[in-house]
Amino acid sequence: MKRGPIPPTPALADAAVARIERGLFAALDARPLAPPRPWVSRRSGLAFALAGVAAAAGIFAVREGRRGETLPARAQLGTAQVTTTTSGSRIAIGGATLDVAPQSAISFGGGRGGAVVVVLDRGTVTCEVAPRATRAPFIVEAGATRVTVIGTRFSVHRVGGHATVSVDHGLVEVADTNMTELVHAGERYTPGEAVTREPVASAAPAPAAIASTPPLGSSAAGATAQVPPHEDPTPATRQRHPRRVALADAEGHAPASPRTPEDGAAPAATARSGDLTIADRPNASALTDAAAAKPSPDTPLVAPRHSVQVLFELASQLEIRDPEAALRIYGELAAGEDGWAAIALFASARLESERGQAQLARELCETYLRRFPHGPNADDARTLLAPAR
Amino acid sequence: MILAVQSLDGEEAARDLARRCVDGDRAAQTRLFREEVRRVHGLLYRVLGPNGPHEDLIQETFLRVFRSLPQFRGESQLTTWIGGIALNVAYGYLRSNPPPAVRLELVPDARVDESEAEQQVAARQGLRRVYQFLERMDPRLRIAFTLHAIDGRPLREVAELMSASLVATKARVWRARRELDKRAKRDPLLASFLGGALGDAAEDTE
Repeated sequence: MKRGPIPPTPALADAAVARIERGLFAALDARPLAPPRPWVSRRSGLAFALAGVAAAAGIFAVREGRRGETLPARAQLGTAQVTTTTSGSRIAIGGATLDVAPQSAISFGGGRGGAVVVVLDRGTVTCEVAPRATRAPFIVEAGATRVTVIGTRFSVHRVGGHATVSVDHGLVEVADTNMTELVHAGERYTPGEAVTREPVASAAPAPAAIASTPPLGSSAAGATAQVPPHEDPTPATRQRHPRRVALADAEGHAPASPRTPEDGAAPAATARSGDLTIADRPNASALTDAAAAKPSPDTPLVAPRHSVQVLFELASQLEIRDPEAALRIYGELAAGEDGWAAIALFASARLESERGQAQLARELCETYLRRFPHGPNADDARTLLAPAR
Repeated sequence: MILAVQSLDGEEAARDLARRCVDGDRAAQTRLFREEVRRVHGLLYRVLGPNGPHEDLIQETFLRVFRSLPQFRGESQLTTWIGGIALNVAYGYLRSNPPPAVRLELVPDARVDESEAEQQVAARQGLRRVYQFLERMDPRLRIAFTLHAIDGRPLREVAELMSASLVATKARVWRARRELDKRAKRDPLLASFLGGALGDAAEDTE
């Protein structure tokens, strides 16, 4: 690539360097650097702080056996610790339902950027998390393993300084020492091993169908591998959670209306409560139909612009590593009606074309031109269609 | 400009310098600052143009560098790591500050061969248009575009600096070019000034 006209970069004057240096070291002197501490100590400190501030609220909730109830707002905004003994516990916080297995301990509270951070100190926690498109991140830490949730149901089981992660629905990003892995529905992450498919977990239903999924344990997705220790894996035993808490939502959003997997194919239908759900990839016709479909007026569809942009960027980043996931996100965005819908629709056409799916790319381009005949990529769509014609 | 120059005598020396900085060795901190300050300034200048509060942002960059050094694990070159922090600072600034009016007198002279006064003025106006356009651009697109198209850095290096994938970076540059192209169609002065560059951009996006 040839360069365009390059504006010259003026040299930074020595006087300016001296000014900056004085200001910099004055600021450092005013607030000296904190002595470095090992990561484990920081985590322990976090857990200790979490425990100290609101342990009473959490322990009280456990002792009273208050399953399936949203913790008081004060606990949600602050920090809390939950320790289970012979029976498990279910709590709801920040758009997520946590099933804490027996003999487990978790701490949770707010993190940077309003994130909900759950620290698993021991045992197993199963999390069902509403899609995070418009919410703050949801993070589970267990030893050196860190799970960042995009919108899913998954289990984390702590083993020493690391953890195994099993994903029922959706997608999580697992960061462990020197590595980061995307773990999809039906897959299991084990430290030091490649991500493997779960032997039992079948194709997971789209997250839109989560609300209609039977209670924990009675679902087919409740694979044996995900049953926490100290708990009988038989459905009869696991059904001791008779009351299912709908995806508890700190913002007060109503849970999604029950849907069957059959009608959950169209990405447009998966949006709820201002969220964009990352659904399982629909087939080609469903994608184009959804992209062409007009959303019903009472369906809250489009997340705030910045969230949509974040999703788009995420899809861009996933194009190489996980094109299927990228296409799912593009499909979701394309179901909207704003400018991002046009961009996402063309992006999905381009990506399909790059993957050699000429027919799909052609259908998507035609859909694009029908919906956005004067869109920003209309010329590109026509160009992409030209060879096919 | 080449970012990945390791002026700190190799990676081991850089890690050693970082360790001494973390330990509060003022001489090491001063050395690191003086080694890197001009590189950071160049980076910020490319991204922000001539009107940014460069000195404040340079200081903020080094404050963050010194406070984050305990987390530096040597997985990338120290200069690249510092560049990433500088870009984060620039990104935060662009997101939180409305675009200022570009003052003509602060736009430096373009490198034009012609010495005629009229062409000099036209070049200055054209540069002014470029900076006005950049002020309105999404910060991520702007950073990717300025580093790649204006500063001439390879896409892979831009991606590393921005902690993004190569594909995402390419898409950002591509989208920025499209916006530039679109605007130039409605702005004859910008179009004539960037005529060559637009041709290149069109080739690159194929």
